[in-house]
Amino acid sequence: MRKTKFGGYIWLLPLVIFLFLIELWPFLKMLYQSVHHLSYTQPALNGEFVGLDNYRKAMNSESMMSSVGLTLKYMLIALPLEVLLGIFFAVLLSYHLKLKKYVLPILLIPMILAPIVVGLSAKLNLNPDFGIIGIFLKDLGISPAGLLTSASTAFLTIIIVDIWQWTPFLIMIFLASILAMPKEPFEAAMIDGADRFQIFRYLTLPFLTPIIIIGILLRLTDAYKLFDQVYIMTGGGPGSSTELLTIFAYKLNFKFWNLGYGSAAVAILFLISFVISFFFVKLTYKETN
Amino acid sequence: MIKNSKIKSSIKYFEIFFIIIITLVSFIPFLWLILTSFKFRTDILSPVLKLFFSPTLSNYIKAFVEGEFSTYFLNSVTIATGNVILCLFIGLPAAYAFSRFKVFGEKHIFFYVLSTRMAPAIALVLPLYMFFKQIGILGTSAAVIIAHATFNLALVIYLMKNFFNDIPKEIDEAALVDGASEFDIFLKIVLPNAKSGVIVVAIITFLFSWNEFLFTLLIGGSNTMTLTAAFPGLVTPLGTYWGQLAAVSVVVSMPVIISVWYLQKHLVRGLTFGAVK
Repeated sequence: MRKTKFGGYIWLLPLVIFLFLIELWPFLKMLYQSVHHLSYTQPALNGEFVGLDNYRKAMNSESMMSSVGLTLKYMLIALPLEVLLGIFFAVLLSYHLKLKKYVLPILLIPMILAPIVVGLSAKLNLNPDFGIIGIFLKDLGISPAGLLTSASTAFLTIIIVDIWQWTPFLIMIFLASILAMPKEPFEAAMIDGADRFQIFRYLTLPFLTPIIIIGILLRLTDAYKLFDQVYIMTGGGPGSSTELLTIFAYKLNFKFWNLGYGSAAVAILFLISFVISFFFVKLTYKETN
Repeated sequence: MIKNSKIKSSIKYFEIFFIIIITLVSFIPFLWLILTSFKFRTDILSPVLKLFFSPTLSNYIKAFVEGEFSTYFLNSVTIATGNVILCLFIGLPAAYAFSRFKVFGEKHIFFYVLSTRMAPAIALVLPLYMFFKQIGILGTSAAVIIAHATFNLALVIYLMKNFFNDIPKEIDEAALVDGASEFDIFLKIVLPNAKSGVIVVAIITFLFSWNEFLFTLLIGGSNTMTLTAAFPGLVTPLGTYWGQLAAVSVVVSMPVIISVWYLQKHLVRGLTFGAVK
């Protein structure tokens, strides 16, 4: 680390200006907004100071709490399945490395597509009248009205779409780290006659654990943000069966134009993401150092 | 012994078969979307799965020639390119500082990257929406470009810092002894050495901006409509224009697929913030 007459800070000037002007200032204004009344549909009271009323309203709101519950439920079902499938497939591919070159680029496609395209593609395919998967399911007698149009199946369907989209990401990072593992312990185990399962259980898995934790955390951050796919697939419906926290906050602000209350809800969303990021940093620093 | 090896090789073939099937199944939805983009409306809505149909470019023509989508395409390119330039302009010097000098905040970059990556689009959009509305730039390309920097900038800084760290500090120290200025070192020594890194980061930044939906929808306006933001416009109360939606999807996806295949070896590092190399 060298010293300079500017102390290096001049290089940070554009960043500092950007952070203050574009990130911090609007955020503070939003916090200010969150303790005031602002609604385009009920403008009579606009500008009135309401203290923490908006926050209280958010914490006591049944639809907000149900959207928090749905977001948690979605994470708790999707993430473990993705991680298990990711480990399984990464290990399987590591036995057949010749296939990697052909298989991985195709598997990665859903992950790199624009999220809105992923949602649209799922919606098209699941259509019971003309989607290839929808017709197939209908012929099997499953969900003749379509998986996305019924409250009982829509939520499960967005989870399956998420698994389709994101498992390849985990396969990719798990496989990369399996290939980077030291060769010697594996060769020694082979010579000693260990079978595949033993090698997986006592060598691959322990070596993989730090990457699994990182994979879970990265998926957690993405899962928390999920919006575009659900927006185009169901828009939060039918009813509010797929109304995740992000969809709820979107509707509050940009559909009902209740910006004061909406600001409070978004501030809570921010708080949650700060808390998760904080634990992420703590955990990954421990893992990598 | 012979029997054992027979079982082993049949397991092997079964596994290969299984991997190929799963790969193909995961490709079906996107393949169906591509096929849909080349179908006439009657074929799209056909309840009978036809493997062969008479292909047509009519959906592409309707969207891009008769419709507004060629303008949206240009808007997408403008916004993504503008975003890359803005993020590099702010991010490169910052990454250089974090890599070379002892400056305040270095330890917190990771937290900054994560918290901006973690924050849902709606949470970043609402403050900006109100701010841009107040200063009167809501609906302009500049507003969308700035808005996209809220999630891309942190990524640029973090990835570029890693690329700069790979360049030995002895090189710039030697140049310093030879009388080069700090700016010379950055522009003539460090940046050219990190060229491939800058290209990788620029492409990743471009793609994130290109694929983005909600910021563009809310911060942008009718003059800045991009390909992705125009999607809901094709889902009308009168019906969904599946053919055009599919055609636009294919056009949105092509640059992404091509550049990701090109970037493959950098992808793991880029998407895990260097946690997996």
